[in-house]
Amino acid sequence: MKVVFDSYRIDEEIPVREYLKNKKLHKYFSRETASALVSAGKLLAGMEIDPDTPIYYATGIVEYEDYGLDRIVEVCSDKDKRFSQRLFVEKGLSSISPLTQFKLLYNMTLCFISIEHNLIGDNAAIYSSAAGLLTQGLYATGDSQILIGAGKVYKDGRVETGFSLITKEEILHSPYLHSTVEAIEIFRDLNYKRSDSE
Amino acid sequence: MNRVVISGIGVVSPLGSSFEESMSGVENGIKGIDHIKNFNTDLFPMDLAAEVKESNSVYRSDLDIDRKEVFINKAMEEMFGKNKFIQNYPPEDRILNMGTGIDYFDIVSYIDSNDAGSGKWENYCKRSYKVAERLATKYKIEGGFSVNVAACVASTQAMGLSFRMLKNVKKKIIITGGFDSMLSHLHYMGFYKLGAFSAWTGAPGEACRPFDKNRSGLVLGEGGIAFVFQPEDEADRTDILAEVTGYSSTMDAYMVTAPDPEGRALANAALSAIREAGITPQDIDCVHLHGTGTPMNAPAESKAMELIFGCRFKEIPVFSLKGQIGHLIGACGAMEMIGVIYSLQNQKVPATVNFKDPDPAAPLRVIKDNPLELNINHVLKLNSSFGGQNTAFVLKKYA
Repeated sequence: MKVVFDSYRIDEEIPVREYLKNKKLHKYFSRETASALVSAGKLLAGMEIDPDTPIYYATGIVEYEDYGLDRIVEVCSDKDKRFSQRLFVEKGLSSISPLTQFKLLYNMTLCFISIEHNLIGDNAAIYSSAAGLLTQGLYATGDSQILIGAGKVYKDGRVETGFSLITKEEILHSPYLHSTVEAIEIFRDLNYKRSDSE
Repeated sequence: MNRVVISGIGVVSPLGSSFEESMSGVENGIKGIDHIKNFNTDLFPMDLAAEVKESNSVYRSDLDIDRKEVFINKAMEEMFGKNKFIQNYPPEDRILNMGTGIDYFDIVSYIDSNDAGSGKWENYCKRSYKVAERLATKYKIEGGFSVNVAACVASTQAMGLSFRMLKNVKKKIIITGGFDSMLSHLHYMGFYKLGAFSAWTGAPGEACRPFDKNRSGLVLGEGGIAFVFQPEDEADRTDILAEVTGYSSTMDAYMVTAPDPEGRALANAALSAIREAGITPQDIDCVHLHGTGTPMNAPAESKAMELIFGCRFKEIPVFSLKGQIGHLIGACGAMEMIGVIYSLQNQKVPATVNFKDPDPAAPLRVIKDNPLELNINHVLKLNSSFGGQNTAFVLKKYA
């Protein structure tokens, strides 16, 4: 089983443009989406993937935000450091970029990867758990390989993503099938075992 | 393969706080959209939404409360209260698969606190995943739980997973559905910035106009809904509301900002679900569409209908519930299943409220003014997400 696992510190640039057909899309990406596109790009490089390949992606519990919360707090606080409805509408609103929603919605990473790799089949976006992600794969339609991925942004701003092509048989034997740990742990573990065997 | 049935339900919606109230609202074309009452929208450029009603009044809550958690708890209470048979399944044979939206953030309390600007924002963030975890604990659901978060198809993907699981295993019961509310300062305005809201300036109840030529955008709604899915041979026939016979999910892989205008992947999802149901498009009696009221949605769904039904696409009755309850995002598809159950149980296609002027770009047979009486055995339910995901369900009248 091939697995890709990537990790970027908060100050590291994610080389997502190298993995995009339409490089202008990068402005829509959160750091998790950018990293996931790199991981999926590395995994699928040189492969001809069936467009109907099922894809399931699990996003981790959000521990770090870089969507401009501090800026909103700054512009919406009155002189007594209290929330001001007037300032929220007059200044807070303009400080929220329309692009923010693309970074906030949990299904965007999955959708951008599907666009990049022309995946049009069965899919699902999951929140957090390894069991949730693998269960989706276990009950996927057909018996082909399944593309699974996960991502997580940690409290210190570090982002991790992983992707793998997996079969139902491999899912059935995975120790994570009934685990409530975050799904990114599947890929960290697979990557560790792969590195160890090399 | 097992037959899978819906054998229990609990609903908290903009039409009322029970299954009966919500069904009555569908029947009578009640309009749940109005000016927002639960939180301060002074000076907002837009203030329309479909808020949850309790005893005909908007359900009120403090800003530090995640409304969607309240709604799904109330829906679960109704469902567990009415369906005692769930207790016959030991905790390890109960599974929870829910769809929901993004985490709630209480910006007002955060700014008013001493934590603002310190980076200690997590105390003001209510995580959707944790809601499901607490539900599982409260209702002794120990067979596993999963949380789907694919925006507007989150809840239908959760129901789809539940259907697939129960087709393959016996002696399990699955609680599924969805819960969401984006009716708060930050989420409401964030969504406003996307430019997807209705620009209607007339009566609030007319703001969401699915398929109408003068539609101008969506209106947000909120609520929670829980279903019991069971293998048919384990269910009491008198509890069965409908049989689930087909499900499919596809991806447009087109643009994240707009649906594929040709509706190809949506049609593929529908055709796949119809095949799984063991029928043909000719057997579908009516279609409950996503019908958001946005300019781009109706033509795309119309194109998909043409691909699914061929020349029959202008004849088959269609319906959208969003004119009444708004767009519940992470709970929308599950909530709209009450319309499907209404059709199967009452043998009627509901009228789509606010549909007045047909749009030549979406030449569909939208039922207006009064429900259409019809012999209904199979209903096709379609939903699509912001981002390009599609789901299709086929539900059958139980016999």
